[in-house]
Amino acid sequence: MSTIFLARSLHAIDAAASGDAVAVDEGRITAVGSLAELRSALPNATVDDRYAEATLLPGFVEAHSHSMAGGMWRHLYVGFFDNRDPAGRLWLGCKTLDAVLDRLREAEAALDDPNETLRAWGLDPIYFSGDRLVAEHLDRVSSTRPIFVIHASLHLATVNTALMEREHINADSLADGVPKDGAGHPIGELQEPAAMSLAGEGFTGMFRALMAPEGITDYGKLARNAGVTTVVDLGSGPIASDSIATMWQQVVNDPAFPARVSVFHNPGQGGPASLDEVAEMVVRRRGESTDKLRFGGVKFVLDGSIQGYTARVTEPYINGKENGLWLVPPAQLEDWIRPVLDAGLLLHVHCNGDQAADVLIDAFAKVTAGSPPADHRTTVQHSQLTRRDQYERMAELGMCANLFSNHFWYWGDQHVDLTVGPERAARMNSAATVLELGIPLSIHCDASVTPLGSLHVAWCAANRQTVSGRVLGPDERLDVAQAMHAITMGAAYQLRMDDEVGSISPGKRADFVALDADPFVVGAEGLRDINVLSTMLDGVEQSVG
Amino acid sequence: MSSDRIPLTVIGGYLGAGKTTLINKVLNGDHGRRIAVIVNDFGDVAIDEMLLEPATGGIRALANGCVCCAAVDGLATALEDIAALRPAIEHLIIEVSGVGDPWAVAQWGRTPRFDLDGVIALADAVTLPRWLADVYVGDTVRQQLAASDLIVLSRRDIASPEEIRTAEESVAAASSAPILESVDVVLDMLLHPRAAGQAPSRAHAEHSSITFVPPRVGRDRATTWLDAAPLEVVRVKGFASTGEMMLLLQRVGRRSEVVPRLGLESPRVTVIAAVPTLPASVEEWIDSLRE
Repeated sequence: MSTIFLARSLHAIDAAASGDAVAVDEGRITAVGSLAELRSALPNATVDDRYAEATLLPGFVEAHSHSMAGGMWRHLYVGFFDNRDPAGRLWLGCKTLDAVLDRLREAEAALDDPNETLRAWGLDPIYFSGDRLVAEHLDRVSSTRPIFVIHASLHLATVNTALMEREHINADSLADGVPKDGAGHPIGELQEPAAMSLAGEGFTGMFRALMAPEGITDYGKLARNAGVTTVVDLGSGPIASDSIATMWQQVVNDPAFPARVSVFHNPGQGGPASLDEVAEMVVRRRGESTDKLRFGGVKFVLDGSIQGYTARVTEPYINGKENGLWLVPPAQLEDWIRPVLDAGLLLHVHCNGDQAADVLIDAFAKVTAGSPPADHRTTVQHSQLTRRDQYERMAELGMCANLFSNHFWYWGDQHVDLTVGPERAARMNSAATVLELGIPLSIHCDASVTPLGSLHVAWCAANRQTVSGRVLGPDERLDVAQAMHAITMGAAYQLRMDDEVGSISPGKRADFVALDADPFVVGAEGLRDINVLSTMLDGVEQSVG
Repeated sequence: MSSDRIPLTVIGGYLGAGKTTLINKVLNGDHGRRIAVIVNDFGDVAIDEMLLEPATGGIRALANGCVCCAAVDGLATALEDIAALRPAIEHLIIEVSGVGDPWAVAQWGRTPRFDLDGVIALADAVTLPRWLADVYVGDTVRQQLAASDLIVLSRRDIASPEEIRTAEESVAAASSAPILESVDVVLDMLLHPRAAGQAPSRAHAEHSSITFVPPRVGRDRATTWLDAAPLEVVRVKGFASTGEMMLLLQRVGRRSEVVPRLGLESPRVTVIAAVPTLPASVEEWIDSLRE
């Protein structure tokens, strides 16, 4: 029994069909067209007009985010930008250190158990022009309750004196990552995991929440609220152990979970050390895939981040830092990717800097020796500083690019002033070049690094505008159709799910997003102001929290 | 020498420098010590024939009492598992990946259950200059050398005198750490740290050592004394009493550390010099502690 959903407007994205109605039967799309066309083709169908005032698009697809974005909300948000929690509540950004302390005070007062550690996340001092959060600040929030604030980079935390006393962090704490004042007392900063682990339960409790089932449930809600019906967990943790794989199955296969999830394995986070064993394990997991939960992708991380000055770049950073960090020995990369490609698995590789992209493109070209496997969809993730000559080689090799366009808004001014300078900032995330060369394109949020929001990243790629109002590389802006394609079909293609999702086409799953305005009517400038009304998964509505 | 903390040695170095060979020597050795090794890749380690029981939780127990562990759930978890093993592990070695930052890993040696015992880099005498000039990893290899306490220049047997000279110059340009001619000193540090009571100076092919009972000494005095070690001294480790508490005295290469430690050890300090017989300058320096 078919249902015809009538919309104010409907954009199929990748299908020739046009119209304002879509017919759905048993969770699948059966026809797209005008209401009159569908009625005459399907005389017994019910017409459902709940979207009569809305615009329908294929549900958005996010091809680079992390499930920990959900678990983060178990802790207090103190980030600089406005952000919405899984329940849909808006948290205003903390624009000054005082605002951070005020928010902490409020949360502190609401805790019953006086010994419970107050944990917060999202702090990014890069916006506070040199001001550094230290224990002294946090002591003004509480001199008795331990406080642990992790920074947005996840490489650094600030704690208060009560926490340091509880965990015996003192003048004798030798770790390099425990900076001291002139008198030899720790100032409250804990840098990198070894030093952060000194915070004991303050630290372990933070990360335990990120990998818990409740966190994944919340990740599904964040996706739904953003209009995303297919989301990736791009290698946040290993899936080698049965207990972790089972947790994913229990959470995502639950009918109440509002999105499909493609879970990638990241060998850098654990699991078998030999890549042959990794490939074998992921192939086995792929066999456990369901309609909603997919295994079969492998992700490597080659370098760090640009705002952390750890991306591998061809030219030094403008602050004088020579270069960033490798996470894989470049000379070993060929041996790492060969078993993955030989097994027919999907390979996505994090390359923020152009030097990292060089190493990947070279290794891929060598391993595939002039004849890349058919339909391999190997994707350069982030690809933020990739140059045109590199994109030309990627086009020849049939590689894809998933760009981190949200950077223009969240760090665009910092990239001009502090990291790579105006010239390179103008060619960051060069989406128009990617499309011009015929490379399959997607754009992403990398939640929890930036908030999960497909319309926001589409706005960024279409405007390339910074917080201060600069427009970086206007020639690289996408038009609305290109941006909408990138957050639907473009991402679905890179996840090898474009035969099922990503467009409103007969035969595909009835995964939709209902919007309160039409992106093609409001235009590029208005994309981020459009509201998501609800999503539909296999024809079943998922109401937005 | 025992305390409630496990000594931690970090072994770094770029590809092909002999890290795995060194680790195989530890895991194969009939040394009677209970050593844990965290490796990057089980596949490279020759443990199959020594395997006592299959891996549980990523940890494999070996017939000689050692354990081998791949950090399957991350380094933090592996460290927790190793610290919980009984009987307790006597020494932990972490092999850092070819591009890993050994100094960052070494910071785990400053967390409550471990004592940083030293950062050792292995460098291939033949290929080191090429890696240092490599556009991709030159800076990484240089930073690894700079962050290490001791540097072993390996594969000297197949390198020409010219290659060895070039390699030594490259190391000296990147790091102030002493250069060792073979892994023998490192193996001695890892496998025979405990001399029975006071031991006279011992001579080896390439190094010498002595163990003595230190007098009571204040923390500041112990620090000054360690910092004044003659250049031949590549290693000092032991405990000394201030009269009120025990101090852990450590020097690896040019880096010294004196920290208060709980423990029932008796005062005893071992010194290793990278020359075949103990020089008079070292004996004089040891005597100076009594002044």
